[in-house]
Amino acid sequence: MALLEMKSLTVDFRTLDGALRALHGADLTVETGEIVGLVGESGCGKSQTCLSITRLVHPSGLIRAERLTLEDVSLLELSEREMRGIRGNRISMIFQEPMTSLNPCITIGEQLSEPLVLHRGLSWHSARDRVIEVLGKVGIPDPSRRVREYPHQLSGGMRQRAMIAMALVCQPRLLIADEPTTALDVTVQAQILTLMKRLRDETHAAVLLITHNLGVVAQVCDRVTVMYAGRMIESAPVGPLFARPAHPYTKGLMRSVPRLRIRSGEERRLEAIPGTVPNPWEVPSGCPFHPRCGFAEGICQRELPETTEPMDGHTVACHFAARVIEEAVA
Amino acid sequence: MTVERSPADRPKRRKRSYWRDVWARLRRNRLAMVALCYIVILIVAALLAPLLAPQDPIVQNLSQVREPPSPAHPFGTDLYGRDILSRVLYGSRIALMVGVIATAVAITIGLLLGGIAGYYGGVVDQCVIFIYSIVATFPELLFILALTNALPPSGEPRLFKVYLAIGLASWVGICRLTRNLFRSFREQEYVLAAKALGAGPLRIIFRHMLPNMIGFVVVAIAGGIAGAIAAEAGISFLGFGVTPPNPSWGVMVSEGRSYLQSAWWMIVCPAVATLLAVFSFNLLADGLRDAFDPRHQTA
Repeated sequence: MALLEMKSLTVDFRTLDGALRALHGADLTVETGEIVGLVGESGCGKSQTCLSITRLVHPSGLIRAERLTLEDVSLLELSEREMRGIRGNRISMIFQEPMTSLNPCITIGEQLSEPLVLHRGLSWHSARDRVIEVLGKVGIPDPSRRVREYPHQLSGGMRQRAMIAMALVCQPRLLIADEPTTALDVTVQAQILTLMKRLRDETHAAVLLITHNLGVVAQVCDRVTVMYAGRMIESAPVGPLFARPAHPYTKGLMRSVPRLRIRSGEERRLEAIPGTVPNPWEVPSGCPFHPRCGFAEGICQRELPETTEPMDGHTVACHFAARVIEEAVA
Repeated sequence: MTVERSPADRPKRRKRSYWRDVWARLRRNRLAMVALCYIVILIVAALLAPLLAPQDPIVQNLSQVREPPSPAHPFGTDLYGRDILSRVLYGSRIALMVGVIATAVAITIGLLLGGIAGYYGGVVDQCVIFIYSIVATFPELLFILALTNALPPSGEPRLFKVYLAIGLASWVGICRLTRNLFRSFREQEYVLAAKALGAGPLRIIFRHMLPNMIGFVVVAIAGGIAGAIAAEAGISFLGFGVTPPNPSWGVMVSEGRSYLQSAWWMIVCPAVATLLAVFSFNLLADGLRDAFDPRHQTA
């Protein structure tokens, strides 16, 4: 039994122009103690996937799934009150902007105590000791002084550490991190990623890491799922995915990452994937990637590719996966 | 050569809490500070009225009617021979009471309804808008009069009904403000983060969102007190509010209005008292508005 199992998750938003489908049957599993990367361009549904797990999508959104379970408990069948008992307790979230996701009017100590007060029934006073301990763990110097400070008195990196500490105080089973390092300096990014990895080793919590940065994925993830236009198009352990990407889109993403070292004699321009992410109102027929795909043939316009498993633990949704892999190996 | 600076030489990082910052900015505003001083004096006067007042404010003394200001009666006496200074002093109690009670009622209702409407949106929001639109339909004065008569009689009948009625008639402004602010707060990431921690709606409204508008609330309180004092004086002047012989400033002005030519002090003293009180609270409200806005720091 996986920690988190998601099967055929769809999210539809009610809008003035009718229903808008943001996720078209997303599948995802996260095992205990695993760091899973969720990769894709802006607007592909990464964040909506995360918000669906905690049922925090915008109120106009309707979440449906064949299966959405945390430790075999179906999250979609819980009452709102029961769901609140899970949020911040079994599943925590870290957001992209540490500047805006901490409340400017409340001290760090009080904000971090809140989950303990809510879920563990601790008093504000006794929560404080645990908060100071966790702040120390995430590398905030002088935590007993910091708990009395307000968010604006902390630097961006420190605030993100505080957010991580806030997500960890109740020792959740699953930590969802929505681009936790995007707003930070590169040096601070590396520190935060190392921290997350260390915390995973210490607490055995699973981490679902959303990012559009393949460098981050290579650095910390055990497994990666690539999303495109509201669908999971490829999923594999990190090593095999980087060695043999099976989807043309994944391959394109990798080619568009700048590299410092180029093999001698190799002439290489930084490639970009042509075109843009489809507007969710006008998702192309068949495989949604076909207008931007170099491998596309007639079938891609007509039929949505089935998800196949060409190698163990490596799933892909492409009509020509075999050819893509072949080319990567060659 | 580099000189190691000792911690003491290092320029000190200015570190002040939010409230100290507000206070520092308010202190630079002379007008607001004068107003604040006057308000403090008013509060002290109201608290110490029994000690400060030379005479009982209600007992009549028909041997000294309508005497002009003199050392014995600095503000003169009224048509029943009562010392006007004493009545004005006791009147400050009524003015402050109406200010505090009516504003407390208005702010409580306004924050509660506005907060719920702004947070939930949708049908709840529509209902709240419907309610406050109805209240806003009536001219405020008429609404207060109607409420004063409609409210069930209670312990200290007239006085508290008037306070309550003024409060019930003046919550629309703060409600609308709260609703609009909360609608913008709702989309803030810290609200989503609070939800992700498992916080429920009431906790988010009162613990996470409300502190973010504390400045607006303080300004609304000061302005609300000014409005309530003026409203009370107004309806008491018309004879529908606080009733004689209670020393309400409005009542006193009303009693003196036939004697403006012969005994101007009867009307001028309570009128000036009302004016100064309303004026001070309004000035303080404006000063606070600027003080809560960090962009006014250098002004």
